[in-house]
Amino acid sequence: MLEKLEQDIYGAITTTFENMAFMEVSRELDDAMRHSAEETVVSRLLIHDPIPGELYLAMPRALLNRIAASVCIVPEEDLTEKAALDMLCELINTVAGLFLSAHLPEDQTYRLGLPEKVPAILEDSPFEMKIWEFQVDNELFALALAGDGFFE
Amino acid sequence: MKRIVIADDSATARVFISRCLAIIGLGEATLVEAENGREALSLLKEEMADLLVTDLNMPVMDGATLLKWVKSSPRLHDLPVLVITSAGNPAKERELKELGAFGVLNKPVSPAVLLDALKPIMT
Repeated sequence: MLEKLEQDIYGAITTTFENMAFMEVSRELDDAMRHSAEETVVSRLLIHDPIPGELYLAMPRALLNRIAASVCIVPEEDLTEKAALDMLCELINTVAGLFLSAHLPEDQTYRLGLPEKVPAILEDSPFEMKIWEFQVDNELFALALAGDGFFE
Repeated sequence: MKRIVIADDSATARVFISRCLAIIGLGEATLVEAENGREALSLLKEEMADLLVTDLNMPVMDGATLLKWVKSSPRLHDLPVLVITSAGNPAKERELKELGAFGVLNKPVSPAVLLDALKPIMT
């Protein structure tokens, strides 16, 4: 069960980053890429139905800016905060849709909230939570899924 | 195709769809952007379009409600509506097609998939 969940998460992440940002995602992490002082931006998306839960996407500011500038075709120095955050929200929205489509039965509909920026991944979530890390373009980022129903 | 309305609350998604439309040869069309269904309806009431591309999950008015409004309007009824969403699955696709959408695509959309979906209405 957990193996399928992880495959579906990884599939959603790779498809999203490859198709939207033209970046290859790896699960092989290079710990030298950890920069604890670097600013991390986090978005959260509530999953209302059929399994209540939360999805978080956390990535270094530099990586987010690079992706957003590339998609919006603007130099990074001209990128606005609004455009960068919008990119983050679009990424988590797309990941959520792909993940739920792969993970739930074919005809199962689902209902999501609207993505929002939050200060951090809330590890004190009332739900059971799992965090996965990935590497793209020499940067690490994380996706967290919270929701008891996903881990039964 | 001269005028295309793109409704999505994400500016990034609108840019992405605009780029895909340009890549498949619709770069000459006037692309008009709306942040939600209500704004898209206002734009369509101001001036008719040849195509409406809409997201589903939007604030103020979502894509399914926008689709219902369009298909129930005598003036807008024949407007082709393509839904591009991150919340699609076969059941949702059937529901949206029953409401009148001619196509439902999952995000992230690619130019090739978009071209394939638009072929029936591109003349």
